[in-house]
Amino acid sequence: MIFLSPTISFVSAIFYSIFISFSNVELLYLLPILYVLFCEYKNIFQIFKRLIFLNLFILMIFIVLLLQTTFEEAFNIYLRTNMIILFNLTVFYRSSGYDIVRALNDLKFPNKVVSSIYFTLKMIQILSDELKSIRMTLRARGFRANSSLFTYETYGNLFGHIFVKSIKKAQALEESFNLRGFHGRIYLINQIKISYFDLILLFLISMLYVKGFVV
Amino acid sequence: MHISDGILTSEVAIGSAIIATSFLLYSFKDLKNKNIAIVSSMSALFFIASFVHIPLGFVQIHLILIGIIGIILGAQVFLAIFIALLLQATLLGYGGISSLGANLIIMSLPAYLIYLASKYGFLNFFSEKIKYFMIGFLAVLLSTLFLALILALSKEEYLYASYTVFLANVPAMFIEGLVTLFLINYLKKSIPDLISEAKL
Repeated sequence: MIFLSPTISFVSAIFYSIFISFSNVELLYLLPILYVLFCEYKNIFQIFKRLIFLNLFILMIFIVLLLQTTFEEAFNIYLRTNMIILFNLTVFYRSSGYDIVRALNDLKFPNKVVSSIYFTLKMIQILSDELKSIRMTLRARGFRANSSLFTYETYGNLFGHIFVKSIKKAQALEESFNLRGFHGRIYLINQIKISYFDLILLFLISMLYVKGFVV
Repeated sequence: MHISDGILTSEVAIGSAIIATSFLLYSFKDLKNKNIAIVSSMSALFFIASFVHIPLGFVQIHLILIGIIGIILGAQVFLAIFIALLLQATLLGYGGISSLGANLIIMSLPAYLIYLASKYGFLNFFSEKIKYFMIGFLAVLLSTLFLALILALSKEEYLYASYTVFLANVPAMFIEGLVTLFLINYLKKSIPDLISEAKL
């Protein structure tokens, strides 16, 4: 598998999404997707599995459009939405989220935004672990979710517990900020290097824009 | 309730991005260093809520909890939801990058409106339990209305999709209301100071 720089992946995802969102699909637009799929060839099956799962809402729009407009228009929207999702799923497939923080830091996003995203990822880790353990406890106690008031009460208490946990973690984090003299900025070790593979991706995305403006 | 990339027209996507950016700047203006921790934790909570699917007959719905998150964060809810939506779009494929502005309006504006309604006592007409229920119920109701409005504004052909989305989300409004009611009751027992600070 080929490792693409998170900064280039992030920039490519933005420009690819914007370009495809407002264009009529052409075969040429598949090139960046084929390229990123080639970079991620070992995970292609899992990526397509996720894409199929995400198709529910898009299928609904497709059916509604099919009833109201031409097949071409409905199919165009269906295809372009899937193309963007597939591209983004592929470029971020191996991302843990922290590389997105590095990418935003590289792109000179405000320090407070970068710090907030970094701490959000930390919190997501903590809260997902907590959620997993509560779910296991509920399963061990024979709880089965259904459409009843008891289920909603259980979920209310479950989220209440996670809520309390997150507030307490936030307070602890705030105290450690004060102790460490936090000024809204986190310092990241920058190990990002741009390779030829990144340049190929950038070239493919730029090519779409050049074609869009020239032709 | 996320709008995927490629669905909206350029006019609606750009217009909603401009509006969402102004909300984001407004949110960012008052962000203090000490608030970063709470913004991050609420953002994570919104992210996590999408993992929990609650069965409703043959289908499953997921919670968003924006009502209570809005009350806790106030104007900073725009930044918290923006972070969660950005991570959901990139890591999970929910929503998208070109539709981020529209999704931010759909998810965070109702949360802020609920905060304002609570702050200015518009929810005090209800009894305590109904008020807690309304925080969750109204948040999803407004969110669905914004979603339907943005879809309908984007293309005339989406009008029927808007009606369908709205009707499909009616059960979600009641479930979110009930879960929020029990959640706030739990918070009242566990961290009463927070609830009294929020004047709930």
